[in-house]
Parts: sequence; structure tokens; C-alpha cells
Amino acid sequence: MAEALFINGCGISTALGQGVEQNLLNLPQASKFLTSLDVGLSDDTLRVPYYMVAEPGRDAGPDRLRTIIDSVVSDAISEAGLSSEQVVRLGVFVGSTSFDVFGSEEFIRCADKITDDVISSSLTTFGCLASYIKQSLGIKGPEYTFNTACTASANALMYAVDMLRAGEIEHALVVGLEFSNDVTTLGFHALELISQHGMRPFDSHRDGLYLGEGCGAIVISRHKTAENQFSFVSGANIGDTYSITSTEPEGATIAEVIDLAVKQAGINPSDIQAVKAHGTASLSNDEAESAGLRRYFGSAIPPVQVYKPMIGHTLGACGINELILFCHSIERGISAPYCEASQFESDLGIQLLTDLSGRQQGYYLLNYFGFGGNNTALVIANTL
Amino acid sequence: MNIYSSSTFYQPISDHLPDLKGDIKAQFGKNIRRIDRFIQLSMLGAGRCIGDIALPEKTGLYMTSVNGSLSNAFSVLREIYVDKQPPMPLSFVNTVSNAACFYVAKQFGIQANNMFVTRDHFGLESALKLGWLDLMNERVEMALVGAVAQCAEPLAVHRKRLKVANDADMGEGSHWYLMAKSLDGCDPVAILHGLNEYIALDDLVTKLPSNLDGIALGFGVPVEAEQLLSAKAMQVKRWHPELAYYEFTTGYAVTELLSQPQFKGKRWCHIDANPSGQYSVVDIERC
Repeated sequence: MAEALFINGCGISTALGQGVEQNLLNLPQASKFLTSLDVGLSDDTLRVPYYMVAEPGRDAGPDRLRTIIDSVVSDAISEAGLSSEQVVRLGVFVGSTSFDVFGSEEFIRCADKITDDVISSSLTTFGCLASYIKQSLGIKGPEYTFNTACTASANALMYAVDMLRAGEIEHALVVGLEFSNDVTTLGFHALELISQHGMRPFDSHRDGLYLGEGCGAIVISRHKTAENQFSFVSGANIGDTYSITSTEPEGATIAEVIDLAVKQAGINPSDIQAVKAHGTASLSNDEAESAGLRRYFGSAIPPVQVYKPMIGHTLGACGINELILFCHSIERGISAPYCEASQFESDLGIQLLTDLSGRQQGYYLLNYFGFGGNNTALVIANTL
Repeated sequence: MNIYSSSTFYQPISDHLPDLKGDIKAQFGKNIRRIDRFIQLSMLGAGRCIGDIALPEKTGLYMTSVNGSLSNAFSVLREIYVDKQPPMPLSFVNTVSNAACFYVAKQFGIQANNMFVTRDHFGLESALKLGWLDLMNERVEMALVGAVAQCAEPLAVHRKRLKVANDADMGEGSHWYLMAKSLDGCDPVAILHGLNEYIALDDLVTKLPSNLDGIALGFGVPVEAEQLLSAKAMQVKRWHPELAYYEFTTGYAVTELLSQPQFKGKRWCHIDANPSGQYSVVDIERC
């Protein structure tokens, strides 16, 4: 069995609020926090539904991202109880798809005239936010920034664990971050992936997703430094080349990546208590994910939890954001199906998780899939 | 860890960006559609590295770049803010850098771990490290590791980005390595003894192996460190200081150490430093 690593501290900021408590409190009434983002086009203004971090809002300027990151990272480190010497030696692992594109767009919007020079000058490096985190906290440890679409922060976590197990670092700070920007908004609009009628993963009436902003951070270590009861057990990744925008539809790759993660954990499929599904509510990806779950679990698919209807699809950040919400929901026994069981009609053989009581101890599977054919599965354990 | 192959695709850039479609057709015998310049540079280098080697089923792909596809990011922003139009769907998807991983994986039939990892400094080392970890953990049998740097127009702005003079030469390209613990029917070209990163100069000096034939210095290494290191090997030299503008001088140097005949049987370290005064070491022994 793989050596378990301890999730000692968490911080999160989503549309539901700042901190784990606010997020859990607002999960059942998440739809109240859905707003929209307006993007000007030549012939119209496009209004796109969006779960956005409220404070600081988009009008706070280019420092907004750093303000949000600071508070989330501070929460995670504080909860983990790390000393200042331990903070200096942290390894930093960041996952995102858009990094500081928000800042680039602010730079362009503020220009007197938008020229090719202005646009080109606006571009920043992928590593700029990891560098910022290290500089602001005086961290001297290694940094890794992952850009593998919607699996980015899940992959960041997986390799952070490898570095911990290899003894190269003592503690890792893993950060997922995704902030609203016109490129992502218009890109998903152009791909016709934005829902018009409400986000309903695995439901027969699903028609796409809502985008979401979010930043999540965890401190993970080889030793328990805080009272959190969750540990990371194993993870696996497979790239498939079926399509650059969707996962192989028969579910073979998804079943394979789940199988790898579960085998590495040294457990059996029947040990999985529940699944945190990727659940984008797009026609093809929900089909592929449910096909993968059926292939792997047969007729005994564990109940499925999804978080994207409540916080939006936070893309590269969803690896950490959804892990934090899942762990704390299990710990508190908070079931948060996005709709009543009577309103859920699935043609995909999926059963939503509606009752967490009695399920707390054991193993849980988390799925993440992204553009570029990137597929990641993680196994975590609740040791009580 | 063994290295079985390496490659460089590099071209100097002065006043314009040469079209790469002809290179793609010459190397792969066909046009490959829907790929931007960054992906073209990736595939040209990867193809040279793989050559005739039959990749094992479990080959992982690990790519790195500081800026990714600058030209694609530029054109998407231009569509949005100048043309006031949504980006073309494929251009948007290619803004996510693992799009390049997808096309490389598809071209060469790679179906295992697939990562795009990056840093402002020591980028190649980050990709080598992930490949190393997956090989050590036996998640993959072989690791294909690549570092890609692209020039983008307007070239005057690109020079500013790289902090070089208005008339300075620039360059773009990719550097690739195939690593494995062992490979049936193939002899390694080198042994990668170790990757050491983010270490202080004092630690670096004490940890360097005693039997080094040479040390190749990256342009981040300050003069005072060069003096300290000069006692640690027969030769200590700055590697292509004229390429100081280039993001992947480490890749350039390591590939030369792996391919040029005078390094056969020799053990060299490539050492670079970041602006915080931390060092990275790539320790290689040619077979």
C-alpha cells in the first residue's frame, strides 16, 4: 500500500465565500451566488453566467489575484501550523490554465490605444504566480507550475506527493488558481460549452457548464501537523489522443486511470465509498466519464458527488478546490447534491450522493479530465 | 538513470520568423494541420530525438516552456481586443500549453503520463525531474522530456521581453531527451547521475562529485561562483555565452554534452543559477 500523506491545512476562496466554513455553509444555497460576466464584442455584449469571487471583485484591478492568493495561502499555512523555518523550505506546486491572463487583459484594457506592441507586452510567464508566492513568503524550496488544463492542480498535487515521498521536501504547498478572463469566457462560448439552462451533470437534460473563479491551497506533509483527518493515498495520470477537447468516449482511458490509482492505493474497487466526479455536464464528457465508471465498477458504481454546479468549473483549480470541498463535506457529513433526487433523471447509470452519514471512514476517488486528453484520478482516505 | 537519445532543433532569429511548414513536411513526410509555431518547434525536436527508436508502451511525456505558445496567445488576444470577436475554438484550446503535448503524443503514439510543467528558471530541470520521478516510481518505462522556446512577433517586443538589445540576435527551438532505466536492444548514450536544484552555492561546492571532467556554466552563474567552482573540475567554462538571451541554454548545453565526440567517456555537470542565488546541477556521464 502506498504511503499516505497528510493534508494538514486548507484555504479556499470561491464564489461561495472565503474560507472552508463559508464555502460549506453556502453549498446548499449556491445558486444564489451565480452572477454573470459581460464581454464586449463588435456587434453585441455577451453575458455569460459565472460563479465569481465577490471580494475583492473584478474592479479591484490587477492586484486582485494576488490579494486572493495571499489570503488562501495564508489560511492553509496557518491551519497546518508550520513554523517560519518550515515555510522557507516548502515546495510550491501550482496548477492553472489561465495564470495571470486577468492581469494581461487589465493591461490591455488600460492602454490608450490597443496595438500589437501593447498586446505582446501584456503577456506574462506561466510561472509568474508561483514566483510571486515564493517571493511573498520567502520560500526557498523548489517550485513547479502545471499547465495541463483542468487536471493542472490535481497533477500538481500528485507530483508534490512524489517529491515528499522521495524525501526531497518536508512539506508541500499545492495551489490551484483560476480567475475570470475574457479569453477563457469567449473560448468556452466559442466551443458552445456554456450552459443556457442550468448546470446538471449526468442528468438527461444537461447542456453544458458554468465557469467559476476559485483559488484553493493545501499544505500536505509526510507527518501530521494538524487535526485534519484526510490523507492522500495515490494518483495516476494518462494522456489519451482521441480528441484535444474531449476524453475517449467509450471510457476505456478513464477506467484505466482509475484502475491505476486504485491499484497503487493497494485497495479494491469495493473499498471506494464515493466518487467526486469531474462532471462538466457537457454531453460528451459526462458520457465518457459515466462509461469509464461503468467499465471499472460494473453495476456497483459508488454514489457520485459533483461540485461544479455549486462553484462553477474552476478549470485548472478544480483539482484542489473540489478536493477541499469533498474532504470537508465528508468530515462533516454534509451531502450537497445539486438537485433533489426526484429532479434528477440520468440516462447514464449515475446515482448522486445524497447521504454521507455512515460513509465517513474509508477511501474516496476523485476524477479530473482536461483538454489535451489529460486524465487524472486520485485516491484519498479518511482515517478519522 | 540512462539517456538513450537527445536532440536539438535550434534556429537563430534576426529580422523575421521563417516558416516551419517545409521543415515539418521534410521531417514527417506530410503536412500536419492545426498546429501553431510552438507545436511545430516541439514536433521537430521530438521527431529528431525519437528517430527510429521504438517507444515502449508506457512512455511518459514531459514538456516545459517559460512562455508557451506566445504567437497563439497574441493572436487570441488580438481577435478579442482588436477584432472584437471570440477566438477561433482551436486557437483557444491551443492557449492551454498541454495542447502541444497532445499533438506530440498523437504523432508518436504516446499514451501514458502526459505533463506540461514550467518555471521562470530551471525549466528543463523541472521536466527532467518529473520524468525521473515517474521512472523511479515505475509509472512509465521511458520518459520523453522536451524544452521548447518560441520567438514571437513583433520581434522588437520579444527582445524587450527577453531584456536584450534592440538589434540583438535571438533564437528559438526545442531540446529533447529519452530517458529510461533500461531499454531492450539499445545502449545508452549517457548516464544522468543526478538533478540537484535550488541549492546554495556552499552546498553545491561540497556536493559536486570529485571525479568531474568538466563543468558547463549557464549564464546565470556569477563570476565569483565561477572562481569557486574552478577547483572542482579539469575544465570549467561558460557555455555559449553568446546565447544569453535564450531561455533554454541548459538544453542547448546538455544536448551538446550528449552528442559531441569530445565528451565521450567524460563526466560533466551543467550548473546554472537563478536570480535568488540558488543553483541547479545536471550531472551527466557520457558512455
